[in-house]
Amino acid sequence: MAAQHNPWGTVEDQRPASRTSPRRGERQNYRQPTPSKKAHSSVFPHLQMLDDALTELRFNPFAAFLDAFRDEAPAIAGTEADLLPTILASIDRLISPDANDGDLPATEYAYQSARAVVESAYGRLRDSGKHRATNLPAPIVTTDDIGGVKLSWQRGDRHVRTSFAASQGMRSYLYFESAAEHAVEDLQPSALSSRLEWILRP
Amino acid sequence: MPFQLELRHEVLGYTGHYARPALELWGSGGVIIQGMLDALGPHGVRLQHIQVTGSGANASETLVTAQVPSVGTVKFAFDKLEFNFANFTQAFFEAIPKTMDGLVAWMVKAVPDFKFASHKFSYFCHSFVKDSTPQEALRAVNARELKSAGISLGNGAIFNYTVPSKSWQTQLLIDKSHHLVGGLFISLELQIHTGKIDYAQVVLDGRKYLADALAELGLMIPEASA
Repeated sequence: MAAQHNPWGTVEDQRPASRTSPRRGERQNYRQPTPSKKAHSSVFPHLQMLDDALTELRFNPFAAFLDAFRDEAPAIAGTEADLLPTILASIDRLISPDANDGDLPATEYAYQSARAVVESAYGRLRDSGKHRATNLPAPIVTTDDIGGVKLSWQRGDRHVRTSFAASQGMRSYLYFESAAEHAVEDLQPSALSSRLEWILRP
Repeated sequence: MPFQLELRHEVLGYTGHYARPALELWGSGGVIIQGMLDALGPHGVRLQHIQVTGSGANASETLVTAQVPSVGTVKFAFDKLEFNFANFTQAFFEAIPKTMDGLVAWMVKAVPDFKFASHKFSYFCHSFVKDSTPQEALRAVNARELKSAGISLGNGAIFNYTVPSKSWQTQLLIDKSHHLVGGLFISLELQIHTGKIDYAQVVLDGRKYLADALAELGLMIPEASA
């Protein structure tokens, strides 16, 4: 969380402000409030344990006035033990791949697109609550021969492949395939999320 | 084409500070609870939803809290009134001004010369961006890049403004959501440094203010939302 410290100190304290440990009153916190109890259980079902742990704080009638518990509440994103952080780390590695592997580094454009779309698709999958993202197989993450980024998921006979273009003006696409069907779609977070749901269906 | 938001979680909060503490109500628990029940009864608040807390560290921490089923809380203290509502329906949102009028009406009756000193409304939401990503939406909001800092994952922006004709001071904040993976966080804080306000008008104006500001940034919030 970002905090803006008052560099001039307070009225009663004209000394140069310390770079560390500012008093609470000198902070201007930028925080994104933690969703409420109701939201935890309905929108973020995976947070039930966290929710339970915070129940007592939530029902502390002083909490909302003092706003204290919100400052201390851990961020929700990333608390679920799914594969997303690992996948993002794999995409990160494409920027400076091991020279011995002979892989081309991803272009910044492809890297940014891949990271953003995959993150949003997994977020949507999580939010839908229909399937747990933890059940998804880990994708294979590689670059193509011009620095585009490719990810592919496989479960049984179902395949989902994404190709993030190396540069603007080139086409990014999503391809899916099973014994019964196959097609190419525009590579949007909602489309990828839907296809990842599809791959999880029994 | 503007980026359309797909709301996943939204919260509306309010704090009204009184011009002076309503100490005439000290010891009048029955009057306070009756006032809150009258105002919040239409939203399903019954006596069992009201909690009285009086053992705080100081007088300003004496509270009467009403849990509004499925939506949030309304809190009365001797120096302020507060509510926090989350993931409310459109019908509930539209009823908020009337509810606020009801919450203030009994205080005006019970406390001579009762008035507010200031009001603060805060709205925030976490949403997905239809057919796009938060990074794309943020690129239209804040295109600055820090070359020495690495590769950008999307930069947020904070806009501080005043609207003198309405005595408003506002802060609009847009960033990647920390809570909804792959989502966008938007918050609007609206402070009104005047005592008497028309709640219905402020809610209406605040909603339009947010929609207009977001439209300038190429973002479209669903019409049915706050």
